[in-house]
Amino acid sequence: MDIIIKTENVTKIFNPGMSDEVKAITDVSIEIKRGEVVVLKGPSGSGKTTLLSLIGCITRPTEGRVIVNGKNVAKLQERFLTGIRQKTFGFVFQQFNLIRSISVIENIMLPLYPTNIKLSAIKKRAESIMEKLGISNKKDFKVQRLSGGEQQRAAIARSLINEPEIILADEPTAHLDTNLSEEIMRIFQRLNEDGKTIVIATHDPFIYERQFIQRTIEMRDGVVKNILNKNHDV
Amino acid sequence: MMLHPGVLSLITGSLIVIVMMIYASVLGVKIFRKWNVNSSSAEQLSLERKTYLVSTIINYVFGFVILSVFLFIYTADDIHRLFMGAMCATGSLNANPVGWKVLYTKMVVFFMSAVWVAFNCIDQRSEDYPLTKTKYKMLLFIAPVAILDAYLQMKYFLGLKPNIITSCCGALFSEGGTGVASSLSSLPLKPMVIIFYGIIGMFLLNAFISLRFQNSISKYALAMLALIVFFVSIASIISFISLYVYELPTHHCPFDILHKDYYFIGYPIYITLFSGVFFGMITGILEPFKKRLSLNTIIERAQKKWTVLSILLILIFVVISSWHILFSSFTLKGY
Amino acid sequence: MEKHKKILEYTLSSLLRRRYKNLAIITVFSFIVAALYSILFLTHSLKKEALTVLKEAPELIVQKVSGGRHDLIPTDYMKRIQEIYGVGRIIPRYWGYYYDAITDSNYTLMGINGTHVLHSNSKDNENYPSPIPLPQGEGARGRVKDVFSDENIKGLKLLNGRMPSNRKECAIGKGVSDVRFTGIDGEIFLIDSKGKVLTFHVVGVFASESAILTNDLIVINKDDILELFGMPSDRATDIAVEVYNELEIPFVASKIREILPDTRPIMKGEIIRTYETLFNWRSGVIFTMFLGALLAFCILAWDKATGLSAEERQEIGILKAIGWETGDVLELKFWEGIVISFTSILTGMIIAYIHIFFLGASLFAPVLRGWSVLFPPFRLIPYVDLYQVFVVLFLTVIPYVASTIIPSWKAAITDPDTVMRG
Repeated sequence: MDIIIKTENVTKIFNPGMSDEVKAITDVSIEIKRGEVVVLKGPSGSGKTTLLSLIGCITRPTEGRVIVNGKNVAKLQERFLTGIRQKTFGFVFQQFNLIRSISVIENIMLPLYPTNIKLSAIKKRAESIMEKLGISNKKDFKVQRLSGGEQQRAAIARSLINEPEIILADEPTAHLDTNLSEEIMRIFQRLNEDGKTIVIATHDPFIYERQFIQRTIEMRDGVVKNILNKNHDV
Repeated sequence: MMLHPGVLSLITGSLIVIVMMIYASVLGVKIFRKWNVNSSSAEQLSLERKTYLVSTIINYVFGFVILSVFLFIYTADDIHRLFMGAMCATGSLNANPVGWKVLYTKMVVFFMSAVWVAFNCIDQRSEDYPLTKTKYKMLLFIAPVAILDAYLQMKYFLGLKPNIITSCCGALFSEGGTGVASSLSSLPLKPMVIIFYGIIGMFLLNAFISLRFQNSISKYALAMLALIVFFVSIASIISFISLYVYELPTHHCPFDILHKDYYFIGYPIYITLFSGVFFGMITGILEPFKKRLSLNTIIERAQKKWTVLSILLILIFVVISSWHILFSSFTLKGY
Repeated sequence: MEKHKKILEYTLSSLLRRRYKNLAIITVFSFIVAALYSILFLTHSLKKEALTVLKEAPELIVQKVSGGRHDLIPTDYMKRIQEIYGVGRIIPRYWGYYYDAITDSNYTLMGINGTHVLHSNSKDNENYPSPIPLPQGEGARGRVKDVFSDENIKGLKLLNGRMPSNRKECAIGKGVSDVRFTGIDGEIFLIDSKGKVLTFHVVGVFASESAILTNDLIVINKDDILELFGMPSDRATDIAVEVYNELEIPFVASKIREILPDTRPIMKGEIIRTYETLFNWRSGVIFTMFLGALLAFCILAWDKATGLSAEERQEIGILKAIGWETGDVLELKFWEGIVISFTSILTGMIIAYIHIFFLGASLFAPVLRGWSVLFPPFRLIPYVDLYQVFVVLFLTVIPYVASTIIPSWKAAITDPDTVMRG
């Protein structure tokens, strides 16, 4: 299996040189292979979200290299980072981060608005994804009328609209009960079977005990503590 | 001084443009002094964000300048009744000859900001932003012209004294007069027609050559020819194209063709000419920057696209301006 | 293209979602635009009307000036003028203002008929056009209605009756008939220069549509006017001169000054320029006053654009996190500005149109028109041209857009990872 994401000695400092300087992660080097399901585990404040946003080209590292599909993105300007993000990643956030007061389908289509894909084509895509995730009956509902589980499924649908290779999920089950978490994890499993690489940051044991997860990377205080390979076949 | 709504709008607009230009230049200086594409410091990040602000400002300035060229001509046209003997915008501009300079500075600001927008467009396509420093230095050249333009415009309106006897286009562009404008219209007709079509033909030929063979000389030649096409076309509009539009052997005004009476034919004529010339010129202006490795293919691709655009626009320009010559019942035999 | 279309679509839907927030800005914007358009529409159609009427006016009027004051002109000057090459018909005109103490108002008196026309080769004794009473000072007062001619009066359609043909007959304007409570077959009396009362029989009342020209007008016989004003019979108010070739007018004018040094020739062009300057100046003054309001509006726009609600901030953060770039958000903001501007311009223009052309410019008229008591309740002819539309567009949209650039940029550079850390 080839490596899709690689970080080399990545350090991220927020507000460097200021009184409120925060060293979020230090000297992190990890590799993620294509088609893998990886969990970043650790308590809150351990730097998993920062690492996730570094991998996902949302922020740039203060030092070190981040290589996505063989390309170093660490020094890339925002314009190009966004381009890579649009092509490569789908994001599922902890707080669903859906835009209230617009319809579910619009929310799902939104990532592709600033592209040259025709609106009708995006709509078709969104409909088929919603079908798969079982929320097509909620298509024209406003977001605030959805239940928590439905909102998270809508958020996953949105992350799939750009047909990404990699899905990055930040605490996807934090606001869901066990039943719904179960359901969401089944969705992730199915996506993985379809060939998507999935990286989940969580401190929920329910997730990293799942069978289909191949690796867990444990983080603490901004450094990688331990990497556990669960996939015994390899 | 004239209190006229159009004048007030133009002056307000110019002041805003100046403020924006100065602000953008200050940001520009900051950017080109501290720009370091390899740094991931917080400062670099904030500079990078400021580049968005500067390009937004210049894009808007570009838009405002285009509008203000038109408003300036319309206003000159609207106030012509104030001047004895003036019958259109030309007369108003003659009432205080600074007016012509205002028109020229506006055009210069227009071309300069268009070049900036093109540079910005190219620069943003390359991951290392290789033109950033050049771009922000360019701002320091545009700003003074914008200020000069506002100053001249103020001087023009302040210096206008209604009731001054001025010559209108009839007199200015009449064959008997002296000066550049009237020597333009007294240019012998046949040679002028030949030069016009000849230059356009050469331009188009050169454009095709530069599309076919990717050599630098043809690019530079294209830029030069585009500039010549510009002046020759303006001269031709005054000298003979306008005559066919107006169907009057003595009416040489370059502004009246913008009027409703002539079906606004001036708009497509000037818009295609200006943009066609611009796209022709920009291919040559960008040529030296091809040396930077990361830009080579980007510029080449842009040049190709812009050359094609230029060809199309100039062709449309020629068709529209020849339309009247070919299909008008009016003939200039004997003039 | 697709991309811009979709961003525009999103802009529209997000503006609609937040319509109440934007309503304030649109209301103020529309109000300013409406004010500016009202001024332009009003002055423009007044100017237009004046110029239309002036078209019929004689090219050249000769007044006598003594001691710098306008004086009655001897009719034998006409012979001298006739000698100038290129001069056509020459007509003396009789007119003047009359102050009526009873109603405390001013009338314009005009004498017709019996005018002796000097003409080289025709006996045509028609009332050759157009007394344009524009004595010194009148230009500054800018009373558009002061411009009239016999032909215009005929063209303006008398609602009732006819023009006076005999002595002691008169035709009066709507305004005069109203303040004097009289009409056709009624009577009107005027006091002449010696204090004697002259009674006139009203044979016609001008239609109210022509009010701008005829409201305070009383047309009487020329001999009556001589009597009323106590003018010697060899004098006229001024002389209208026809010049065959338009290009020779300045030449004829200077020739007249040369042979008759105590006269002042006034060219139609000069009158037109005077009106033009006057109306431009008036609308310019009010425009300048509104610049303050415009500035206040820009500050408001700046403030509104800066004060993003938490929800909006969150929304931009989300957009950026899911793949929108700073430039895309800037474009969103650009469209927002365009949509708000155009909505306001359109609303403002409609309000101004209704205000000026249906409600008779009720708010501005007192400032712009003059102060004659008898000023007519006229209806303006709707006249709008692209130039006016463009001027206000330029004057309002550019400051508005410019004042939202920095706030929009600040919003657009929102860090996408804010939503991740939320």
